[in-house]
Amino acid sequence: MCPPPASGKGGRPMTRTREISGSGQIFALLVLSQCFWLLCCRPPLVNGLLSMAASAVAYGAVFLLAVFCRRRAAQGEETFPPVLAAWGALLAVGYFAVTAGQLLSAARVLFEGAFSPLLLLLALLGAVWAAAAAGQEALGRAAFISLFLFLAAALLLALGVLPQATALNLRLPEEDLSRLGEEILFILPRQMEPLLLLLFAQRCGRPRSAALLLWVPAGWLLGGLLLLLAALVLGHYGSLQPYPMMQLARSAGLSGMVPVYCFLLITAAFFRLTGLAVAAARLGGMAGCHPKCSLWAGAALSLGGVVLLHYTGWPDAAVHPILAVTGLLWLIFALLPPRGAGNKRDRRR
Amino acid sequence: MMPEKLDSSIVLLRERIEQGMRGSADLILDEFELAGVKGLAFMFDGLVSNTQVSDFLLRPINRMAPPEAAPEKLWEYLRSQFLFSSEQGVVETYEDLFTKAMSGFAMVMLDGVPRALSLGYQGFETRGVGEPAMEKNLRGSREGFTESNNTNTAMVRRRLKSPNLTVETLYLGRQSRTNVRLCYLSDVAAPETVEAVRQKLRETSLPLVLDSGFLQAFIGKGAASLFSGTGTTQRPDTLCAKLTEGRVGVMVDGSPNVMIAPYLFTEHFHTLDDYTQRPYFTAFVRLLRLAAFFLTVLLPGYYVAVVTFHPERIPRMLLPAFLGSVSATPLSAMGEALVLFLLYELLREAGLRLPDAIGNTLSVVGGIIIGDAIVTAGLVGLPMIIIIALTAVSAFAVPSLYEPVTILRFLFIFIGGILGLYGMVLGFLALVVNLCSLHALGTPLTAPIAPWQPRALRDLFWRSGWQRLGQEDYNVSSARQRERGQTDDQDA
Repeated sequence: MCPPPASGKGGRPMTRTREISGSGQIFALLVLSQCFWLLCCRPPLVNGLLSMAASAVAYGAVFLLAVFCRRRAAQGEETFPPVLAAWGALLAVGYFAVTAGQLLSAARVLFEGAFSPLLLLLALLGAVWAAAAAGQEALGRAAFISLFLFLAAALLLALGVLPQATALNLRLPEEDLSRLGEEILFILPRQMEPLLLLLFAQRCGRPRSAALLLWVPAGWLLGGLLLLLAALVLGHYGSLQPYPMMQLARSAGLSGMVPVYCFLLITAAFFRLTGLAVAAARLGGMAGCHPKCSLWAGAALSLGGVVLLHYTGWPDAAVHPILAVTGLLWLIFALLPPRGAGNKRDRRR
Repeated sequence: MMPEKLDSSIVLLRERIEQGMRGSADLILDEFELAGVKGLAFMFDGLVSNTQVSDFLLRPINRMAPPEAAPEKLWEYLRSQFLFSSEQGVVETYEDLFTKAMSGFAMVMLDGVPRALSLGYQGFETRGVGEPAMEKNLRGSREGFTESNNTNTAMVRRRLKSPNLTVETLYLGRQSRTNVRLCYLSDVAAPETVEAVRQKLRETSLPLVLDSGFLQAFIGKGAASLFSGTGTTQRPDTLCAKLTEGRVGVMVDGSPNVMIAPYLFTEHFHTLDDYTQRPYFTAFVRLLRLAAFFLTVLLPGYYVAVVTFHPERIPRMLLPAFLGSVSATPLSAMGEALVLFLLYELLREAGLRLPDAIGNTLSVVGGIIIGDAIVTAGLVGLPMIIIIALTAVSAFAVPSLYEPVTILRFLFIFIGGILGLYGMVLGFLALVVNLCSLHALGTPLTAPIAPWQPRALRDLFWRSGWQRLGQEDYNVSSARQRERGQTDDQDA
């Protein structure tokens, strides 16, 4: 047979994927979301290998949770009891408010107060909730495309700062070892991705796919490499900075690196926030709310949450542990087998 | 409502036609008598060929002397043995009678027979086949579609000599009753895709259909977006290529623009020349087009954002020139960009529909005299002129995306001028999500990137050689079956 005539699609399969999101898309979304804490926080240590070791422990715990979440999602149960769903929705809104607050704080430092925080917040909420209204499938695809751009930008940043890296910065001061536990406890509460995984994997075409777990090591590796790079370039100075990655971009001395960091930061935040918004809206729906109503309620609550955090002046370091404990409790309840599911053998039948 | 059947009485038929046409000046009604049975020929002046009508209809009828017979037998004799045309049919309703007559057919009726014979003696003037103005290419055919559906169908059929090439006719438009043709390869196109297009076209409730653009909104209907899931072409070879991949073409009589559905986003960056050039050069020009797209959408907004809010991001060498030009002009960077773009769009719009000679004059006056004058007068800075010129040129690298690109460019100038880089990144991400939320008849517009199909990489941003592209014959149906198989495996 002759080849297909030239038109722009030689051999391209036109698949129809109206109903499901691919596991690769969820993988991309979760990797992007997980990079946020690193780009927007100051870890107690910016000390290369030691930081990677600490995050390995934290990510190990996250991996364990992810295994349970994937297993629960694969059971095909798409709903939670209304009370649990309402609790989950509030939890997602809480994480949303803290994340948005963190992003706005970073943006104020990055742009040196050039914009009104209220304007930034309203733009953020508008973009995020509009994206959330497009649904999980659109979000997953966007995350998949954005992951390529994100990786390209991260590579560009790395190449920009690499000439300033020096191995001498990798010294391991003895006192750093004592802060290893602190580092682990810093990283752990910032991991809210298992919540997203549990909700998104339910509607995934392949809920048993390995990609639904691989985001944990991939996120760890990406974050670890960035931390290592920051340690190589900034050394101990990095630990003193509120935003070491921002400092890393500024240290490149090239005017193009700060926009690259800006892209990395906002992309990671956007997908974490949109994921949380979709999760909040879906859980709101499970709690008995009309879909549109739950979207608007989520947007209003998240706006209220950010304003509340801003005026009360609660540091995110204080809010995160509360959310983490609540989130863990919620996950335990959510991961319990549904009532009346019978024993394992019955379920297999 | 059931369509009204034709009357068998010639008197009633004539009355009905005259009532329907209300004494229209171009109406031709010729009565004749054949073996004692009265007959009526109905056609429109200018739509039928006078030579054909006189040679193949009126002269034979006047010369023929059939034996006396019942009207039904006489009609059957006329239909099967006496009157001939390459396009011949039988019409039983008034609706079809009028539609056919207005499409250039001569209608012949006999007293006592509730049917009409339609004879394709069209003689209206059409434009000849020429090179398409909007899709020129370096190699390959120079033929472009014309305004006649018959000619267009023939051009496609000449290139695709497959018995599976199916052409269906629909009459759309409450008033215009435009001849719209659906063409597809029945063994390649998915039946549900064809049915979806057919159904959506039937559901259109327009009074008038003059171009495929009238129907595009109905086929590509979905989430609110600047982008569409359909495309158009003026080239028969492009349409043939698309048909072999399972797409559906929609031809509208009176328009040389044929709609293609579904049409994916990445297809906007491909041209026919990509397949006649060497693969390495194809990769280069495709990446160039992609860069031009991003440049034209984002560059003005980025420049406005950087100059307004982030001057520290401007390279040291360029800082004096950039900031100097902004401070020396009365408008803000956003104002400058908006004024220049509005001026540019105004000149483009004004020059678009003028005769060539006046259009050229307008370009000189607008581009050189006004452009030079506003810089000399200090209304806008030179860097902005460079940005606008670069952006304007880039927009034409992907002409099929000109409309969304223009609006997006304005949007990003606003966003950059109000929210700086922060807003630019947020706006870009929102745009990506919006693009990802679109479907073209069930196929995601962002395929094959998301959902990811590694096989498609061989012809996406670069193109493999024909040896590799030709290894497998592409078939959408088999792709769908394969996908279903995969889904079944997953379910299992």
